[in-house]
Amino acid sequence: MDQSIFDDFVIESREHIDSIQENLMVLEGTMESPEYEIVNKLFRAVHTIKGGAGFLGLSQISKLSHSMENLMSNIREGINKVDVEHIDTLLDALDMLTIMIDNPSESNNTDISDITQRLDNLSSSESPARDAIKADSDEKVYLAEDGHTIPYNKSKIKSIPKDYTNFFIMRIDLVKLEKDFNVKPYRIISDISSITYIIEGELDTQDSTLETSEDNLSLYHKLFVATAKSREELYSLLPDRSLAHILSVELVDKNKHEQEEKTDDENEIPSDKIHEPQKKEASVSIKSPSTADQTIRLRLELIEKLMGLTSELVLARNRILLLSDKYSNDTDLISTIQQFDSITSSLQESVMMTRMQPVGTVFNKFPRIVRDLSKDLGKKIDLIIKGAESELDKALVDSLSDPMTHLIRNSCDHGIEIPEKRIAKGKGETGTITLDAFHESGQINIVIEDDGAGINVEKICSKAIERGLISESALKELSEQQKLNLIMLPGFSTAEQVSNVSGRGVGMDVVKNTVERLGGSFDLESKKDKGSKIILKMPLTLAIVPSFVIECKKKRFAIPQISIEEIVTVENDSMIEKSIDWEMFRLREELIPVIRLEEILLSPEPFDENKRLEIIEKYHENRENSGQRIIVILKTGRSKYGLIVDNVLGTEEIVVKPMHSLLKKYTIYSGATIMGDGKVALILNADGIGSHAEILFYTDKSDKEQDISKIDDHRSVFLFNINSHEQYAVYLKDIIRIEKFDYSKLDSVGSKEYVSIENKTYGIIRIPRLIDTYDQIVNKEMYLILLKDMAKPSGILATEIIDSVNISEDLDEEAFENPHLLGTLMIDDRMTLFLDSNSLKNIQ
Amino acid sequence: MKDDLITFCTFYISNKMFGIDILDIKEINNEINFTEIDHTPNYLKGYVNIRGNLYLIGDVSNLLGLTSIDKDINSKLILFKNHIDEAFGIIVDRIGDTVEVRENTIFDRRKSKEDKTGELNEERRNKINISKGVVKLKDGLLITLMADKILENIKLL
Repeated sequence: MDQSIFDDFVIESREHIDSIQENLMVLEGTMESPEYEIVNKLFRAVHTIKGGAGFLGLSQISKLSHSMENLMSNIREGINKVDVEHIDTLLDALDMLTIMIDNPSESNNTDISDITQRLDNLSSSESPARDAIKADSDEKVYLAEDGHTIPYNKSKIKSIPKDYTNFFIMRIDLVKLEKDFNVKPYRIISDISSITYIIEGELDTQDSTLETSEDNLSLYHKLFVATAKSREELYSLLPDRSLAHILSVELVDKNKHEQEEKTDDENEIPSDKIHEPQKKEASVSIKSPSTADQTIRLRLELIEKLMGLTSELVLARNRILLLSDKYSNDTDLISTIQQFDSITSSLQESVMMTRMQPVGTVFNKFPRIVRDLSKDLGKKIDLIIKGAESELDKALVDSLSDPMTHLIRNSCDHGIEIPEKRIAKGKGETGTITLDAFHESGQINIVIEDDGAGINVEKICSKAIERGLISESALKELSEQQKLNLIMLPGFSTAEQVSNVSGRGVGMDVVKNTVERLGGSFDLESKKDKGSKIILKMPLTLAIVPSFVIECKKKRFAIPQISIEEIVTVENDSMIEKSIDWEMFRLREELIPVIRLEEILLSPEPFDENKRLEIIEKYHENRENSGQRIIVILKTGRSKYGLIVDNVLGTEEIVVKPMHSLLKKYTIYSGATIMGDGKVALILNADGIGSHAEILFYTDKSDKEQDISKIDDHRSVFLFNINSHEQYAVYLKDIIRIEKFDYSKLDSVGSKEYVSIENKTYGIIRIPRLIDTYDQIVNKEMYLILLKDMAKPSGILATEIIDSVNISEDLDEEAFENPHLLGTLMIDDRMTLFLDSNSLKNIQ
Repeated sequence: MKDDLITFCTFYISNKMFGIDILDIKEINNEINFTEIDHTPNYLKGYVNIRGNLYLIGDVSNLLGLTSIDKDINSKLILFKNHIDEAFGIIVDRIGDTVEVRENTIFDRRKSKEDKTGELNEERRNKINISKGVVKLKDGLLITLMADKILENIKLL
């Protein structure tokens, strides 16, 4: 049979399995009064798998799902009362099913007798309601078909939903379906099963071997279904009427009368919650086709291709923008190009959206993991999931799955204590793991927090020394945070013994590397007996990255903005201090190591002490006359350092192309890109360069300072003027950068004003339009304060830049009422109006 | 099968004629503006942008025991098809004609040498490994190379 049918089946079944797992977790949470809707969803999902498997001849899958279906049906009908054993057994069965579905060709050789036995035992477990049904389950009913009546085993019909009162026998021509309409049989079966209950299905062919050539093959699929729909509605599922013969059949039941009585009884039996929402179910089945109309299923390759083409379009756009400089007199051309520019950006954004997936797809598997682990470990753990709807690129969602699983396992295994210990510590016996995802400044933050034991720093230190990862003298120099970070060194595992939960030799370093390879950062906080907190910051997409383009040795390189803290210029090398074998630079209060990119590029071998001393010698002598140095301050997950480059050329949205497989071992690069002029530039990997220079633990930043700097971030403001009256302030954290530009270059379309700086168009925000104030003073040169997270790139027009200052007082929020103002404050005896950058987001 | 014709694209490195099965070649390109990649050995010349796709360009002269290539206006790139590698090409001094060769006229030096001297040492075997054999043409000897083996050997370097 066609491989693609199998593939379709596997893909679809996996989705069903995911949903079954999710719903089982929900069911477990509401065991006392299971919702009919949930049980019904479970039942349908398993049923669809069963239908597909039966059709494809995957007998074992079909058998197992049949047993699962039976149990679920019993739960639905209220015959079985759900308990932990039910959930356990169903989960185990689901695991078995997953294994078989992942490898359908082997599935028929899988031994499932144990698990089906367990399922069947549960299904037939003693229960009064059950006995009542059992009594007549073997009796026959009769089907009226074409005037004939045929006997039929009644037990097969018993689990049909009550409103499915129409019975049909469908005979579908599979060969024609595939040949003339190019529709996969599996798709039809799954469509049919969505609105019917398939009682029985069999292949109908004259040719028992199926080995004749495809042309002569006749292959029909015969289905006996029950449904609430009419015959016409069944026909409408097919691309053409000629494909099937649908026969209406009637159920003639000798015991009909009796049965009706019985079902009436049933209604009264257990919790009415299970039976009551039958109408609800009907409304759902009406709703589902309409939502299905609004979504389509696309092959991932197609989206990938669309993405690739868009990336190339972006490159071509960049190139056109560069070329258009030569024709700046031709206003028609320029305006067309600007239009092209903005359409390309919108297109790129939309295509990117198609790849966005909620992180929930990763999160949803954690309840099961936590549940299983807490059982294994004898712990009580609650998992709270927030922000599962936050979206990010599919590629990222996929690659986050493993590292996050590891972190969750870690929290369960090492974090949360056993109940006795927790009680001894005065905490509740149930531990909590919180999983949270939210967007912040163009990134997604994922926080995994537990209220467990926290990480034992002393234990880490002794382990690190024992493993020879760090010397005792070096250890003394480290701050608490840095000691904690030792856990991220390769080959570190603190588990006292290798448990089957975590501590398999792969540790935090692997997680950290994965996260950083994806362009994210990884922060770890921990307090003894209070718990640990891990914060992952990930870009929303991997494909297009805003970057700085820098120059070194006449070559251009791109550095992703995400790893750049700031860029500083120093007069000459005498500003760079010596500290044993390191060059250091004093950035405000902080001493940070400096790496010279040129030396990195010249030395394929990683630096050692001698190499670093050699470099210091080389530059020390002539340090007064070295000329200006540009230092790019880079921050990676574990270190912060300055990278000396020759020149900063500007910023560019670059399309990241992965390195060729032959080049993967050169870790100072993270990829390559094509620049506006068509040349290739390499993307530098801040972490890789750090390791190449063996920088690792040279960050000189105590915990205390870190806290202050965090606060500072929110308290430092940027001051500017627009006229000689009041001054204005924007929080520094909301600013990307400041651009100086020639006011005569300002352009306008209608009421919108914009200016092009280095081939990029920025919208202009004029304060007098937002706030009642005097007119803005216009000079030849004006400033544009570019703000973060704007709907479209834009900035505030400023006449004069004053300074950036830290403020300590609180704002007066009442003096001036305006939606664009946060408040006012007197700074240096001048009235200062604080702009609310959030309110400016959508202004253009 | 033995008598099947193979079409070779011929090219020159250090004035020696080589050929690669034309079915392994995607295109010949003039672009020789490489972006060099620091830290990589000199047989990897760098990245080149071919219509928005990045190709890594290698120099096989080392592999063939010849002096490495100085690029000039005649230098060309031979880019391999995807089944050889997703994005790889080699630089050559200049491109020659295509020639059709019957497979049974390719003289496998390796076999004959092995016959005479017995086992070849490993290193030598690897070196010869990238060649299918030689063909006598009217205007000289054509050394046939196998694209997949070239890549395999570059990965080993």
